[in-house]
Amino acid sequence: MFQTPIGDSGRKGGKSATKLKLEAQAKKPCVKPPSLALQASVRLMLLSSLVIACAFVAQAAEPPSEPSQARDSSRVIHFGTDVVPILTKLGCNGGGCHGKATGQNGFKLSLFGFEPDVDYDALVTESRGRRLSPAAPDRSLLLLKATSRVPHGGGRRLDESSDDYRILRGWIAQGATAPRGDDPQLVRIELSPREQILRTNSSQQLRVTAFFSDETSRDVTHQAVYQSNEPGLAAIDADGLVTTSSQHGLVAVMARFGEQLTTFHAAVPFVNDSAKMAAVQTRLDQLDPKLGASSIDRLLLRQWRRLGVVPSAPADDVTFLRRVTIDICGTLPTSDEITEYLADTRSDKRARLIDRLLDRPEYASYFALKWSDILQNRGAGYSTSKQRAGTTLFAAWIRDSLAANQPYDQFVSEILTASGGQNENPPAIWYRAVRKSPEYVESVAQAFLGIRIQCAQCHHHPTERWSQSDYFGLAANFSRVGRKGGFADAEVPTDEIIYLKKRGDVVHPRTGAILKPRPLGGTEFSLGLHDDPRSSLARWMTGRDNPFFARTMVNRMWAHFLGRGIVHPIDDARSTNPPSNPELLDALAQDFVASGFDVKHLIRAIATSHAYGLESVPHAGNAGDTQTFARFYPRRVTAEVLLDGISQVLDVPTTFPGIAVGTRAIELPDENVAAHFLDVFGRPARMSACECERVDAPALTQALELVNSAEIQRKLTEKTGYAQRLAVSGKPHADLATDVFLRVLARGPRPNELKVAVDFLASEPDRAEACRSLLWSLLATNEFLFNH
Amino acid sequence: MIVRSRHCESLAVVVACLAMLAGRTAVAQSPPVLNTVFPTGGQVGQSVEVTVSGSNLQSLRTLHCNVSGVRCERLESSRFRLTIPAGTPPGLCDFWAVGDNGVSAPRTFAIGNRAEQVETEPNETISAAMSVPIDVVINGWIDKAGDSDHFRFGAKQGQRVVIECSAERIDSRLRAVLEIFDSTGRRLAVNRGYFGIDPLIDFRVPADGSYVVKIQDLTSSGSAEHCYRLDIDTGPRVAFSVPSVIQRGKASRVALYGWNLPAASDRVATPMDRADFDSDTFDRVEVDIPDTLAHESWPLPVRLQPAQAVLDGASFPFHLPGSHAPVVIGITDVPVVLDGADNHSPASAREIVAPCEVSGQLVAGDERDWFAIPARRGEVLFIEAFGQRIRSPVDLQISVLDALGERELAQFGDEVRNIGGAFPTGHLDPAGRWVCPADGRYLIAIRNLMGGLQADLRRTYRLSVRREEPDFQLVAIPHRADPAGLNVQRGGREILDLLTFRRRGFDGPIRVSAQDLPAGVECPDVWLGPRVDRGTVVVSADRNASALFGELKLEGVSDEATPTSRHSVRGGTIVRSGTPNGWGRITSQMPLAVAGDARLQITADGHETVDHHLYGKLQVRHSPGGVLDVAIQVERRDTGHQAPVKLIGVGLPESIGNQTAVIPAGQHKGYLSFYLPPTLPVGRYSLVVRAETTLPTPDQKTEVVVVHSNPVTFDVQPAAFLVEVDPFAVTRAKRGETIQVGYSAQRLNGFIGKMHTELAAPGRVTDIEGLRGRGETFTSQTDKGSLQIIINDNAPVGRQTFLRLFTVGVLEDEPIYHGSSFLALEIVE
Repeated sequence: MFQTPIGDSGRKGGKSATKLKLEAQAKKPCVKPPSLALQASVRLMLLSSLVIACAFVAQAAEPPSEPSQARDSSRVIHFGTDVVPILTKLGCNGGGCHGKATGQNGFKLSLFGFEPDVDYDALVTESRGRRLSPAAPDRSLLLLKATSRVPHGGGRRLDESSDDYRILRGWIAQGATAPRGDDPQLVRIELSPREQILRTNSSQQLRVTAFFSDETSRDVTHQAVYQSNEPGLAAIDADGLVTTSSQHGLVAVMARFGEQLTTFHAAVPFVNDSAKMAAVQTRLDQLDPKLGASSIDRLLLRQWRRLGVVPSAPADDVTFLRRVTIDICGTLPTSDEITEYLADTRSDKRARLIDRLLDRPEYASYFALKWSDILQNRGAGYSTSKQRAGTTLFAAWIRDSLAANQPYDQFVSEILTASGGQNENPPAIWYRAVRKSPEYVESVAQAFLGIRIQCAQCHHHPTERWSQSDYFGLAANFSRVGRKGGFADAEVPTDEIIYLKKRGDVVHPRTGAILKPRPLGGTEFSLGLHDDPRSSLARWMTGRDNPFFARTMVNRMWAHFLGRGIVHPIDDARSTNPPSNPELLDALAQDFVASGFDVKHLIRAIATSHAYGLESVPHAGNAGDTQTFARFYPRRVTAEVLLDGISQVLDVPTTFPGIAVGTRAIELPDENVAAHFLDVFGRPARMSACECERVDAPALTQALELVNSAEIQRKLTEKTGYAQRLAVSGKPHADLATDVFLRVLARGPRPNELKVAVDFLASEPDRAEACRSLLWSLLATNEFLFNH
Repeated sequence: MIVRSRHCESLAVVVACLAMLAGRTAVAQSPPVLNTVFPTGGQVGQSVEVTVSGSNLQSLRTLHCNVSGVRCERLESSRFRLTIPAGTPPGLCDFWAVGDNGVSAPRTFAIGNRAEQVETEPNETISAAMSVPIDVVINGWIDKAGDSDHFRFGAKQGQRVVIECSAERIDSRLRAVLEIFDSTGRRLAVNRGYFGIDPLIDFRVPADGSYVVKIQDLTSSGSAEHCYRLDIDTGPRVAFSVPSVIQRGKASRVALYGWNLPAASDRVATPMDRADFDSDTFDRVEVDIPDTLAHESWPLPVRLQPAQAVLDGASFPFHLPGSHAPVVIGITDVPVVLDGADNHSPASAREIVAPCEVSGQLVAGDERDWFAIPARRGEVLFIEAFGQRIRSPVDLQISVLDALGERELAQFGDEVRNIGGAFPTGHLDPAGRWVCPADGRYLIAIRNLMGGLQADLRRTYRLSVRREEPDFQLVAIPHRADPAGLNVQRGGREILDLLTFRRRGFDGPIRVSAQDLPAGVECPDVWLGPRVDRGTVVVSADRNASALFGELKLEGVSDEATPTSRHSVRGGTIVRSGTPNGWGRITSQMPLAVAGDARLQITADGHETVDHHLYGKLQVRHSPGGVLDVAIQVERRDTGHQAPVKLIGVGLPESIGNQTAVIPAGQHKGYLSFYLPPTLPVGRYSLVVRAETTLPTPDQKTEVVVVHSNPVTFDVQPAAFLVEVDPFAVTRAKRGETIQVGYSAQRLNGFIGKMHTELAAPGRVTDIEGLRGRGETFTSQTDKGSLQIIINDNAPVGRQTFLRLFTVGVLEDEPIYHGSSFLALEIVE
């Protein structure tokens, strides 16, 4: 018998339950909400179609309607759509509690409730049915534990007076009915509002409505689970109340009920009143005619208008030259190139510069380095002498493909469908590092589809639609990848031959069903006896209407040039991590597809955009912006570029063991070439397809390396090097300092800098040492270390 | 003009040149090792001065070439002048270094018809590129790590300049990368492997001007052995032919594909034309092959990898006039069917009838060719494809399917098994035996497993569909860890590894014997038993033999092979040792030299009689489930040699486990015993024993010496019983103890006679040092018993070597059958 009729308690009761839960969490640190991983990874959200006209709508916290189920005591309570969401809301099936692989204290639920049948068995039939007592529902162990009436390791999760308690109790009292095929199925959920412009330090109540297959609907605001991708900008409580802070920008809030997800998008403009906004719009109006017809510029401008952001001024020519030369060629501009470029007065000289850079071999080498990271062209782990040929061939194949501007769809297809040996078909080397089902799936999904699907190997993805069937269905495309020949003196053979095996099955780990090859989220491929499923997968991926493929590539390239992806991180696209500018992402992707997957075309489009040419220095109108590309986001140059840059400045090449003299760091075939400098500055081990392996975070060891590096010292003291030549040049100190500044920082010294430099040079009795010191001090500056 | 290869035996000339060697006393010196011959080739009708490098070349006399007419004149210790007579067909040949201390392994030398030049340094940069004309062959090397060579040539717009590097094909260590740059330093093309790992660039000159070719090693390595030949050529070059096989003795028309081929006035449309692919890649010309030319030829003037041994007797070189090198075309004795352009689905399968051989192309990456064949129930077909073995860039797979192509009845994979060790014999071509399940029409599908996305006209194949006609090929390679030649010391022996390429279901025994041996040299017959893939040939020289240089000619014979039961054994050499980067190849000849004097010899006897206290002297009879005792007699020729001699078997059939034994210091005789497993097929086998010991040197030190025995050939006859020691029998006993060893003697093949079992050791029955067994006799149907062994106080402590229970089966009062089972027994104090 119910102690209180369902529905008698409204929002207050729900809040109470939440409070209890939060208290319990505080007391029990081991209980982690499922959102922690997301909090760490999610950064941006999109304000997709906010209407500017409704700016600055300050939303007071509007309470959600009373839960309909709470009022209707006669309603049949369904396990799948009523009980499981409560277990999720209460955190019972979270990874820190009963949802973990081994369960908790003998009671195991499916993670986040994605397998109701399993959960029903666990609740009703396991342990001789002791967890439920339909004859005396309140004596059910489930309720006794949840309310802490008997000791519960997870603490008190539920209040006896709450709606959630009454629903659980009601389901038990109704006989703990098992989920049936004809139960109403959750069809979708809707958020209200879906998007909003919010002031700083304001709040907005969200309401979640669930729609079922029997055409009923109900408010599930209290049963839904929420998560903000920018909790510092806008927090969300357990009852759907969004509260903004004093920060500006874009935020997305994910709401999940059952298997359904939806997202609320909000923008917090940079200006808080109409007058300031009008002033911003005026400034943007002035900018408008200066922008070309580029859809990139137009779509960014639209977003700046929405958020009231004023972009920084365009960067000067020399800054742009250095920036784009580093970004396209991984190389510093030479003094001659600077002089030549500055002397060029043509209006399209930036476009011409980009074309020249794209034609240089350094472009192919630099981007081959990037793709070698993503494609895990790994040399470590086994005898270098026996497999260096393979990594060299693969790196060279990538470099040649890029130099020839091979269409990206062909590039990826050749890798995915690669067969044969490394000599005949170098892309087959990809299969040396990527060897097992999880590696196939995760590498392909992350590298080419921009999706992190790792979670779905063991359970349904908690914040996406990917299930284990999706995961292993994708794996099935590689089930017939066979390997033969080769020589193994360690864990990874070298010189294997990749071929299509006669058969190979992928089994669903839970159901035991054999999964047929299929695209991610799609239906099975129709395959003949001798058809290679990988070919079908490649055709699907590279199809013009593929929702992931082109977007992932344009986002990757955007992040390369702008310092941050439109979807960020670049390989974690999902509905709960939306693009910051979806129209821009779509426009770039459509243009990329229309160009025939022309990568150089894509680079031209990005590098010639107004946004790419902005200054990196923020001003009052865009201070704090990290999402809208209203300025150039500076970042430290990569390890290889940095080392090459030092070599170039000092005119002393780095010597790598076993590699021809004169080989630049960006041209190295694999990561197993010994170079301490590169390791200290974040060279990746190529263990995954994630670009995040390349670390650009500062570290003490980097500072120590700049101070103590024997290699830098060698370059500074080499008799034929630039430092020594400078020392004996006889140039006046002012000219010398100007040369050094131009060579190192791609600009002349400012007056105060010149004075300091000249004074220093004059004060040092040893001119050679003075030159070395001046060079070294500039090489250690952030201005040199960063692309800005 | 069509020119046949005139490569032939020329040893007589060399032998004459080396007559001086006969009168010289060879010194005990390590045999020569030839690493390089540089320049790596010469022009027909010209002389070329070459320098050889390697080790132990101090007493070099001459270079021996397998091509007749090529003369060699020694200039200095390591310099020779080679004269290549006019009319010599171009191609690759072998050179061996011959000196007082023997003969080396061969190195490849190219005979060409273009002008030859030698690289001059410095040329490490584009600006320092060496200027060369086109239509020239440059001989160079990447002599140090990180080195690169540059060559500048002038060319006219529209010219088709083929730039090809030969490195691996001429036994070089170089893994070449070719690049072409224009005058501004812009790279126009690159290639890292075209013919295997040797690169080629088909360069269409975009504008009049000068261009630079860069060559370097893929992994930046370099040494004196990283030599190369670089062709910069506008003359005709043939890459491959279609069909790739023609019928023996039958005139045929063949399309040649290549570059800068002469325009064919009689070009006609044939099924070979592939309008669906870009024909600009290759020029194509059709030629007529007269019936007189359509016969097998040996040697082939190309590099042959180990697995290509099967091309022996099944191919010939065809040289298009003016072209730089011949192309090898296959020969078959069954009708040849040309692949059609429209047989890419089961519905359009091309009808064929066994026996036949299809010559086809899989131009597109995912192309499949289908063939329909009628077959009757129980009919056996042997289906084999040639792809990799005819230098086609494919990994073929064959499937046999039902008439609708829906159900796969058989699929044939590759022969990746390597029987050659450092001489790798595995390949990617499939072959298999198929038994037809019912009368009807069946489909055969052939496809390429490494097609990729690009079309490639070079993807030719041969598909052989014929009855099960057992056949084989044999290759012999010197049994050396280093790339050395076959050198026999006087009074000593040298061995070669014998590899069998069994084909079309052949698993019978093969007898290998030598022919036309030089005086003083012996090479006893050896047998490769049923299903045995590896054996050992032993060549010995008389103690009084003259120092000589000759050729070893071996022939394999089998009565169970059809249609040909005789095959010449081809030579092989390990070009580079080491795994996985070592490789070997077939050689045109097997030269041998007699040099030096052996200081030790062992003699093996596998038929020593056994003195049995009940049955007297027993002639050994070997059966599955028995033991082969090989008695080893050591001839210690050096009076100071008393060191122990370690023994081990060599060239054993796979199923026979190897054994080791030691002849104690100062002793001259010992035994090595092998258990013949019950599964060993009946037949004749051979094996050899290897002995290792240390000999004193003149400087009061010792050196390790390895010698081999004569071959031990033995017959394995059907067994009458199988003796097995109880696996739980005691394995450790003390002196003075008496033990019981359970055993069984399971009767086989209807044998019901008496069986008597005794404790035995090599050469002894019952009367064994310190041990005494109480023999036991089984009569009637008895097959299990227990043998009592008394361990005396003087029994030798330790593991008892080759101790066994030895059973004699008596038939009609004659002790006919023998069987044994080893008894692992350790005696302790």
